[in-house]
Amino acid sequence: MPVVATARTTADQLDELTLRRAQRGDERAWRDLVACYQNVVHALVWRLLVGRARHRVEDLVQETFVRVLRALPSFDPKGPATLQTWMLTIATRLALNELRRKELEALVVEPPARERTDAGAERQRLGAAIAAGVAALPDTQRAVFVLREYHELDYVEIASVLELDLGTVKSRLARARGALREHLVAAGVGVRS
Amino acid sequence: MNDTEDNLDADYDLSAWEVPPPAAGLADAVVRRARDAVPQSVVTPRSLKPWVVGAVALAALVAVLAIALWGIERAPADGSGVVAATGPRTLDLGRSSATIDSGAQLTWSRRGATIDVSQSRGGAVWRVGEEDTLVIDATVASIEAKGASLRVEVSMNRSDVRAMGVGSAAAAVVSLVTVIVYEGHVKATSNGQTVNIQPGAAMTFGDKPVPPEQLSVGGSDEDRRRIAELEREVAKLRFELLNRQADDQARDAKDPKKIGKDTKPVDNTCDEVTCVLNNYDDPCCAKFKKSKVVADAPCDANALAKKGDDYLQNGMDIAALVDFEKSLACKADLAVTKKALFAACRSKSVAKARVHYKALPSTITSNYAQICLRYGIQLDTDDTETDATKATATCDADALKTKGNDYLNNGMDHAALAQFEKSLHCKYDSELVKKAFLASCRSKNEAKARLYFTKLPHNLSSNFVQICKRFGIDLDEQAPVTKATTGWLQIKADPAAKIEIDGVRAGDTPLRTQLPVGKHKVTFIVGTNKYSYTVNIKAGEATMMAKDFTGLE
Repeated sequence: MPVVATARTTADQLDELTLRRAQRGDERAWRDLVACYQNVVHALVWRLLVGRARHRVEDLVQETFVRVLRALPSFDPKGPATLQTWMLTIATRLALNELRRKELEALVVEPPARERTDAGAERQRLGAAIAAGVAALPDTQRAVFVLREYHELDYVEIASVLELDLGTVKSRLARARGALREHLVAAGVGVRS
Repeated sequence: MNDTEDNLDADYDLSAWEVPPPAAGLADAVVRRARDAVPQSVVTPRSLKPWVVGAVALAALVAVLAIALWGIERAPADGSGVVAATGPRTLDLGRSSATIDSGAQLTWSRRGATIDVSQSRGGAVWRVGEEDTLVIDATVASIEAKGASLRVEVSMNRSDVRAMGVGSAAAAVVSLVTVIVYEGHVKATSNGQTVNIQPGAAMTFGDKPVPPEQLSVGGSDEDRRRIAELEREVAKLRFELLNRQADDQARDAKDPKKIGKDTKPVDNTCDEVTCVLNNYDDPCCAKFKKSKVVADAPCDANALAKKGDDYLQNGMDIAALVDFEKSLACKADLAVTKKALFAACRSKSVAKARVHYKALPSTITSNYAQICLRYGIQLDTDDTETDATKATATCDADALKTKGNDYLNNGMDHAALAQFEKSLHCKYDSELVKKAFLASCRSKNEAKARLYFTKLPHNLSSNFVQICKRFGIDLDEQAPVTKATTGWLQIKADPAAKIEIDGVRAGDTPLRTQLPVGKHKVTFIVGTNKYSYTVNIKAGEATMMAKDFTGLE
């Protein structure tokens, strides 16, 4: 059964030795690094590009890692950003660039990936409603929302990733949550009991 | 952080929006692309708009004109990059440059006039500008060059055990760095010693580099003079060979018939010694494999001894040992036996050293015992002494730990594990157990990984399971079948004893520990005495060992 990235997507931290090897260009360490962070980066790009064709997501995930590996020798593990936050920054900016492109494809909300039991039907409907609600958010609100709710970045980190003021992050997050709540209420999906 | 303004997560289960896993083979695709992309300084964007190309061209033209007209010479920009060369490539570093062999791996960074390079594998010819200083960290040696031209080769090998059939003590790693200086003066530091390498000279550094003047067998002045002479000759020949290769390449480049064709580079990595050390793993080694077949043919002891001499002069001790032993197999010769002993000591093959040491006349053994002692091998002791006793007498836990860390940082996981185990053998260190576990996982040594896993703190074990999983060892997967693969050992002693299991400190009695099924060596340390026993662990069963040492302390 494939592992799916759920609400809180965090990766295991790469050990320091593997990171140092990766910085030296060791291909095995590169693979380890990609394997360690691929779920989290993929989940972020997938959610930011919600409604886009799958192959764009894969391209951007690959592009993110290629850029990460290229710039890795200059990454300072003792610097202000963790390796994961740094990767998410690169992935977010690539995804936002992609969203700015004019020749976007028609918005398609992904169909359910597989058959679910009756007990899971409501959850599936909620998932589809969240996806559609997030897809309807403006790009920057979507990025703030996904980074906060699904990747647990704090406000300061989000401000750094998106190069925004702290106040702007808070206001956009509040607006995104409000808009999504309205969408979910309108969709008639159930709240937690 | 105030996250309560609109607590959406409390009302809706946001985790319902699931994401499928990334496509299989993502890591392969990324590594392939990244490998092709490095060094980053030569990466170009995927698509450039015509105006961008025009602007760049214009800027370049202006810069060239500015330099030509006003003689402005700017220092090359700072930067860094990684090179994992899949084919021969050139690295342009402004006033300096490098021609990198296929298979070489290195990272570089330029800060002003200083270029720092970490060359972990393969060979490269470096041309260093007059104003630049190149510092190469080449595993066992640090090389500094300014206004020079030099070749640096780093060869590492972890499989000498398979190739040479030596004992595990020598299994660690053969790490050789060869520096050949074509012009300029180059300084190399290894193991705390710094030497200046003159143009036309070559020097090889190993795990424990020995200055050339110490490379004699027997240590006489005549031997030293002869070795120095041979070294100069080897350096000269290499220099001539490289010049000839360069001439050939230049001629090929000018040849219109060959323009556009892929001129095959000279593969310097595929020599016979490297092949022997790598157990003929590389496809290009096939041509040398036949030499094993013809080994049964009538042999030429003198030629083999001469070949061994050549290897010895080049610091290829294991290869030298092989040829000396082949020569001895043809014809017994005391002089060759001495050289074989010397090569065995230099390559830290304790077992082989003992064999050749025993073949020497007793009147001269003490000299050779002294020579081997330089390389950390004590031959004039009773070899029935336990390993543990020997280790305790000579070992330095911190030095072994540092060496293990260095190996680990350089990707030499088997060697790192060996050093960590030796260090643990000297002194138990819970932090080092974690590293031994990591090295076991990295070297895909599942048995060792499981052994150290049982010694890890329980609160951290899930993290360590994840680490090992990345290297293909799933410790969890085996959990349901531990009954079939492990058993328990309970140890009691009177008086209380320190316990080593398979040479690794396991704790103090009373002790209960989980071990893989099979035979294990259990050593009780009571005061300064050690008592070793073999215990056979059976699947899912607890085995009890109780020893009474009262009156024996």
